[in-house]
Amino acid sequence: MPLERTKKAQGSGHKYLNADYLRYLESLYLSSRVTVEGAYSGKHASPLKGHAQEFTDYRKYYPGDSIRTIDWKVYARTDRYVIKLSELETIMTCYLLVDSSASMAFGGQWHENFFGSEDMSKFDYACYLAAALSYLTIKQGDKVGLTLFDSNIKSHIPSGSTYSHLYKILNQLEKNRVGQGTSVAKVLRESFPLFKHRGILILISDLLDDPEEIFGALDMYLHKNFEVVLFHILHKHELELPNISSVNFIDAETKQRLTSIPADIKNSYTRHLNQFIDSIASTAQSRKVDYQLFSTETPYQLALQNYIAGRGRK
Amino acid sequence: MNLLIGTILFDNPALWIGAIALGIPVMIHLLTRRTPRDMVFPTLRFIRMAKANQSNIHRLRHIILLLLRTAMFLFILLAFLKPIITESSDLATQDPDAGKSIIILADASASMGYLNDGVTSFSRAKVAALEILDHCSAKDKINLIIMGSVPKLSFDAPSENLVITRKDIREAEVLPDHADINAALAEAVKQLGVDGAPPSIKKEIYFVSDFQRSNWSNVNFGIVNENVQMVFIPVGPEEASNCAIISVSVLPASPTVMEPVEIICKVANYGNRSSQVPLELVFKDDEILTQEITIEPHMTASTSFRVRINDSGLYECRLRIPGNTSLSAGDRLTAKDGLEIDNQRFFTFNVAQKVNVLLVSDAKTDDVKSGSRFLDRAINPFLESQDATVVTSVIRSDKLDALNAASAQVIILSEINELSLDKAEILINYLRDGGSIAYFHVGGASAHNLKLLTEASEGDYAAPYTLTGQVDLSIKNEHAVLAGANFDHRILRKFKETGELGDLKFYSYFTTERVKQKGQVLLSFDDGNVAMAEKTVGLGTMLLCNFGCSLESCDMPRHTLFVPLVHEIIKGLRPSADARNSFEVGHQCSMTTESVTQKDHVEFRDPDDTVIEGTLDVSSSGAFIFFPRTHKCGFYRIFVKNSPVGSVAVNVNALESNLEALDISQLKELAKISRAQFYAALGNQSSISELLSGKHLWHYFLLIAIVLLALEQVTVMILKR
Repeated sequence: MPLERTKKAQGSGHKYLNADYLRYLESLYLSSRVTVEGAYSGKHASPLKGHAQEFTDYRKYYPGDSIRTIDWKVYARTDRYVIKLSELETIMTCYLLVDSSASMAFGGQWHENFFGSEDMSKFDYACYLAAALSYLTIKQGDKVGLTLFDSNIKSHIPSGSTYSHLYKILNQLEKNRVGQGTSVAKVLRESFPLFKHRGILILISDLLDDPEEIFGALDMYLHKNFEVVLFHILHKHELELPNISSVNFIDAETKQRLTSIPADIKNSYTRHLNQFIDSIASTAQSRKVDYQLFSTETPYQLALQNYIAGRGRK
Repeated sequence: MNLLIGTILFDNPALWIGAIALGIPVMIHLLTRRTPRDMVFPTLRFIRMAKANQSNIHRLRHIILLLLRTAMFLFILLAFLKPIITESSDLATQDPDAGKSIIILADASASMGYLNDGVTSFSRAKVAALEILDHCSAKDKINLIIMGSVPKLSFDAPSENLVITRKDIREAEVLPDHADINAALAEAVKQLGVDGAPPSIKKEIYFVSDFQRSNWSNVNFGIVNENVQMVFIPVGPEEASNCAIISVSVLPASPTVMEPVEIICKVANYGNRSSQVPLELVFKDDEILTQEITIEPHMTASTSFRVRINDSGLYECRLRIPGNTSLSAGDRLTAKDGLEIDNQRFFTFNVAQKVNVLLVSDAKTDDVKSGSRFLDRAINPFLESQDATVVTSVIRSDKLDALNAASAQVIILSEINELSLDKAEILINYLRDGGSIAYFHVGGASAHNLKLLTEASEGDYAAPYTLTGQVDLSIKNEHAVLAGANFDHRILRKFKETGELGDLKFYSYFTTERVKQKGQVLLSFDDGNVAMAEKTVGLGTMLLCNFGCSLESCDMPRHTLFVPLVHEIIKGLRPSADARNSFEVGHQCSMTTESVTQKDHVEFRDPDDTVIEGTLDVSSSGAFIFFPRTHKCGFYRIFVKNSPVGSVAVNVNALESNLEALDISQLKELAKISRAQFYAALGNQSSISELLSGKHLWHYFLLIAIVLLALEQVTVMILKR
């Protein structure tokens, strides 16, 4: 990344992306695991083949083909017209779908006040991840788009590869407020027409929806040869209920109330939650969807670094 | 200040205020239940699923834990309250300010000297008595009665002076006596009546004893008022093992020189194992005869030592069980014999040069045809010859007294006038003490005398027949003969073969009317009248002969049968066993001797050779020696010029040897105490303490609290899974 652009990003002082965070992201590179479509040359494999530096195959010349593509050396040896094919490299498009439903607001200030320790809400965590991914994508010359949703699409920023586009994304993340209920599957279906080129779809959500519905919607993307990545964000107190004597649990989205003693139900709760996580993970694996569970307790830089490192090994 | 709830006494009731602490778990529970914190949660989906899986036990967790914790607090509180459970709320809940009257009856009889595990029953009794005192308040009035043959009191009336009472208990020693329980109980009842306390004051009698069945089974508890509480504290052994010499008899009781003497000893085994008991007869302190006797459990056995005495005089003998007895074959363990005092028995007997017969007759001394004269000659045909084995002393009936009666082995009454009542009493007492009398009926005084003897005996003597009239066949020149004889009797046994008894002719005798069930008829005339009959009185025998020995009454003096018959009568009537060869310790004892005269200076000495007090009554026929009280087993002697002239043996009462005890239920039944008067405790300090102040329960409550704590922790662990 050019130094002056980096400094520009650092000096912006955005909530979700500042100089401290950028230091962690400098050495990271997000690559596409599938071929992606693009009109510009880039570092990622394109399904289109043509004249480029990397030779891949020959084919018979048909009238209409540019004669510049004819391999004359082959013609001299074999007296046949053949065209020399090469794999065109293109840029990657990364679509970020960030859940901004009410359930994503869990954590943050309320927990800091109550438990007396630093805490980050799931939405903030998701935003940090989205910002970092956007920065990584643009830094390596690829395109990135952002879609914020709750039960509907709240905002959509088409893909772009410029730093001004990055700022647009960051601003959108910052000014966003969590909404109401979640409907991941519905939003996936609605946003499908918006993602015109194949690329990476990164869904950042707590996935508190019907898994079958979610994966049903994701199947459309998979069918179109998107690489789908699920970032499952859960708060540490979701993963393990806090030790409080008695709690009035209020559903963030439906506002229903339920009084219970976390210590009493802790084990049973954890068991059911793990069943839910396991079912999503196994379904994702069967569909070759990249699934990653993030706990807000883990610093997002570290979590992202580990994910990208692991992704590189696959 | 104590507080009683039911039969549980709380020694620290001030801590009831701690009951507030019982609210702590409840408050915690309620507070935690009523202040749930609001928490906005991403979804209730998994919480609902978790709650749905909660079991009923989970839902009841708080109730269970609340109950456990509350119970734990309750038991901790109860532990601090020092709860005391008491069987006898009346004994344990006295108001110490009110005071009470207490009589402690401590058994100090010989059986209390039983040694078990190195401690005597009496030592346990002292410990128990001191424990009772420890539970008395300063306002209680107490008296201690040591139960021996005579009750011994610490104070004339119950006193508040516990110091003296304690001192008396500590200094008390076991006595060799047989305790007079009834006398002690009567004294206790009397003490409770004279203490001057108002009727509302509670009264208690504590019996601390081994509760020997032989001693306690005839105690009259009916004299105790119903408002008096009786506490029985047994301190005797649970299983006693004791061998004892219970009696010694000399046969004949007053042998003559060179006459075979049989010393019969009776030994009892009161233990649960058969024992081989060695016996030693210490004879005149220079010769020891030994024997061994095997006795089955709870049985008695007799054995005898046969001796022949060369010299006349008074003999002091001692029969003893040396050391410990040993068990029978197969079990060589040494049997315990915890009671030493009954392992020896002292006895005396007189060896006379000749048999002394006292012939009492009021016939004229110059009447050569009197029956008494014939009798005198028949008894001692050798006159003054030294060959005589029997000698007679002839006296008139008005000269009869206790001393000359006591010196005779047999008294023969013949041709006596009407007796006075005091003479009749002398004869009856002589009979009771083991003497024998042959009474030949001659003259009209016989009917009166027989009636008088019956009156003087106060029921002990009933003649086997009554005299209804006199028969004189000599007028018609007729005679009667003997038609019936009991030849199985020792007197007549030797005349069975000869048949000479039928040759005797009787001219004068009395008509008789047989009294059924009284006495035994030995001879009868052909007209059906009784000729000779025998009746036992006390330990002695009265032989009634319905004929005289003069020629006017019968031809017997002419008959060769006469002398043998008289000697067989004397031999048959000689006392077989002298009951007075020893006296019971704790009581008075007496003896007669002819060796003391009015001028002699007499010293009375106890078995330790210590000079003690005694009384002496000297008459023309001898001296009557009286020891007012004995306190030790052994020989009580009288000395004249430092030489012993008489001795009397004193032994422990044989009843003290049988240590079989009444148990608590039997005592209750015996005492006929169905009311709340009856209490009992074991003789140890803790049992008495439990009875008088209750049993401490605080450690049990603390233990329960700990168990509840553990249970609570286990419940929490189970519920958390």
